Amino acid sequence: MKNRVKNDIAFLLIGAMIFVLAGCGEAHHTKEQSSERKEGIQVTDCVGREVTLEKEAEKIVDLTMIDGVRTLVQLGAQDRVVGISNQGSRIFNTEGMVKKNYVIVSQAAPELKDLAVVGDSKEPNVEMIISLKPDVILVDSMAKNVAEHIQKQTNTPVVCVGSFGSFHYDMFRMLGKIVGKEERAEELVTFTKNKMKLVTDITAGIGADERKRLFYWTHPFAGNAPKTNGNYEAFQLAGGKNVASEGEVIPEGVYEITKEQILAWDPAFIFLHSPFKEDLEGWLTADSVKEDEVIQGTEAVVKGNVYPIKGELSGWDMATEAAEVFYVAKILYPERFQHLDVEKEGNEILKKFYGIEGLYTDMSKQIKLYEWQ
Amino acid sequence: MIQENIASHLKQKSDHESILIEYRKNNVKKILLITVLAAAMILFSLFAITIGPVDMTLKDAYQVIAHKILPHWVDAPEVHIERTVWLVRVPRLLTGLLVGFSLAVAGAVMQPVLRNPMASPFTLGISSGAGFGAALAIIFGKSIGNGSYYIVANAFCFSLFTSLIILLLSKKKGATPQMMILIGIALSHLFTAGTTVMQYFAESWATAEVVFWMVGSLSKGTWGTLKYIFPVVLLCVPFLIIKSWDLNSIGAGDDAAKSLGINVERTRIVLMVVASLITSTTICFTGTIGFIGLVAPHITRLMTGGDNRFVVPISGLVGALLLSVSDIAAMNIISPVVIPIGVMTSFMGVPLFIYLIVKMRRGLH
Repeated sequence: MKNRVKNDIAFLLIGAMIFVLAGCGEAHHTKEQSSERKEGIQVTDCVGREVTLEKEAEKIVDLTMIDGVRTLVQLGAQDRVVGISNQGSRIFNTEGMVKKNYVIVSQAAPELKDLAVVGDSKEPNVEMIISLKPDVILVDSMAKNVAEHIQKQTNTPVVCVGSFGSFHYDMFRMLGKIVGKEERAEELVTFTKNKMKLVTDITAGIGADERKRLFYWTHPFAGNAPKTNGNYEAFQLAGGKNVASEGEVIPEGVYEITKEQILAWDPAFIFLHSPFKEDLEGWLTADSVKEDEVIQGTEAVVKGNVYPIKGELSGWDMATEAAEVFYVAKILYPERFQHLDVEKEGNEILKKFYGIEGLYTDMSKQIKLYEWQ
Repeated sequence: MIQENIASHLKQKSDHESILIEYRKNNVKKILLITVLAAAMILFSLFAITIGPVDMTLKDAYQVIAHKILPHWVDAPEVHIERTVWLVRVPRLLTGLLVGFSLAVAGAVMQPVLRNPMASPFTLGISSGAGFGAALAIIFGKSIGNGSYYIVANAFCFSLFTSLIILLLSKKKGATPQMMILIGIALSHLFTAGTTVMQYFAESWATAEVVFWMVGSLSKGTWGTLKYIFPVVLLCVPFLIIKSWDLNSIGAGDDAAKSLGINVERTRIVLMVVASLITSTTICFTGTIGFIGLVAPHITRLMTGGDNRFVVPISGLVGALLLSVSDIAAMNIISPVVIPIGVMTSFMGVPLFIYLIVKMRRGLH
């Protein structure tokens, strides 16, 4: 009887030990899992959200118009994209103006034309996204309000990319980290900074009063009021003073002004936002601006200093904006940049980002950028 | 009995005379109001041409005007001052006055014709049609016109096209106000949907451009555009003012109007055609400036009552003032940024409108 009781107690003890050990094992396992999760990839996206990915992203869905895909192409990670937005898809699949304006990215990654189309940041095709099983979803920073909602619906980390301005070094680093191409991201950042230094080292010697005042005429459509933008950094980097960034309240994006304001600013240079398509009806050209009777008295028109520029027409592209820093610098300060070969620098920058020769030359011809003899 | 009849007759006569005196008094008040508003408009115009980002004295600004009127008597001003005042400020001001006047008159006519206080160029889809035409030109590059009139031509044709559909359908089935309004609302939704679809598939710059066009701007007003707007306004506004006599009869009901010998259907259609033409001609140049056509007539009715002979011209003056004052505010509040004029008219007009409604209510109680 005693033995039987002993046996029962031993049995219970062994059982309890197994249970405890098993529990510990499970607890230990959970702890390991949570530390793995914690050790996953953590990034801060372009709107300041902390996002954690379990692992390096092998499959990416991009709901932005182009900012996400373009940066991935520049990082050499376009093969990770499994789904693309409506507008992004049109860039690769139509022959219209949209393709022409984004010709650089469509030339660099033509294979993206066959990707699944998954809606856009505001109207995502959730079922399609889930079926693609992405590791991360990219949405436009302007649609940051829907990021959490999409994340919950798809149970997939959502990262916001892009915003006003091109030189988002942190965005490159963040996406580089997500796709495991940190070295490539750092390489592009360092390359761009070094290139910019070539210009800023020279323009740093120009006093605030000597800096050339310029007016950036964005979307110059006949029949609409003049508009401008104070956020295209190429002008400041090239040593210019963009009059649009003066004033107490300056909106982040494009804003309307009056023609009288152009007279009051009296800029020494006018840069005209220009599309890739030559014969776009209604779009003002440098020649038509020079003939505008209202702004005849401005220094820019009197001296014939009206130039086309690509600007942020096809989104905020660090590569093309960096190339345009050289273009603007030589226009504003021809003596200081006498020996600068804009075309050579532009081609070198675009090749570094997109891996294709002669992209700047093509762009320059299509937009009819100023060419030095 | 005879004495009673005489007394009653005398009382009636005296009532009739007192009504007549009251009526004449009211008319004098309304004419006085027209004079005050016209004077305010002139004074504001003189002030408006002195305001702007280019520095100049009052004398400089007025010298330009005086020189243009009396070139042999007044010395020519400096070229940049002349260019600023004559090529920018004056055309912008005149555009504001003409567009404000026209939209308000169109609204003042449409409301009694359609017997609906919510009727305006917006309600009837005329503005949506113009927006659709503009979007078609901007996004797809398809337009009836070219050069400076690339967007304008499309906006004009589509807004007029909207009015024509309303009128043709109404004419076929009898031009009742309800039918006109319902067709207008339906077309408005159709064109808005069409514009939204185009924007959805457009590039971001094109979408932005359509939005900029839709919120309206008086910056587009030049001497070149005024040469189209002015003759249309000059022909249509007096016609509508003359026809405002008929509006009183139509407002009393179709049967009452018919008993006075008015061909109600024809008058309704003619008035709508002219009001639509004036709206299309103005908004195709400036973009869709809402609110003025809806609210200016109501502000006027709150001030003067419902006599359309006065409501139509006074609405015009109220609309002209409201739009021009809003434009000066839009340009100067956060200069150099110009706040969209459509937004500004609402900011300026809504508080005034609510104040008048509350004040009138209190008066009634």
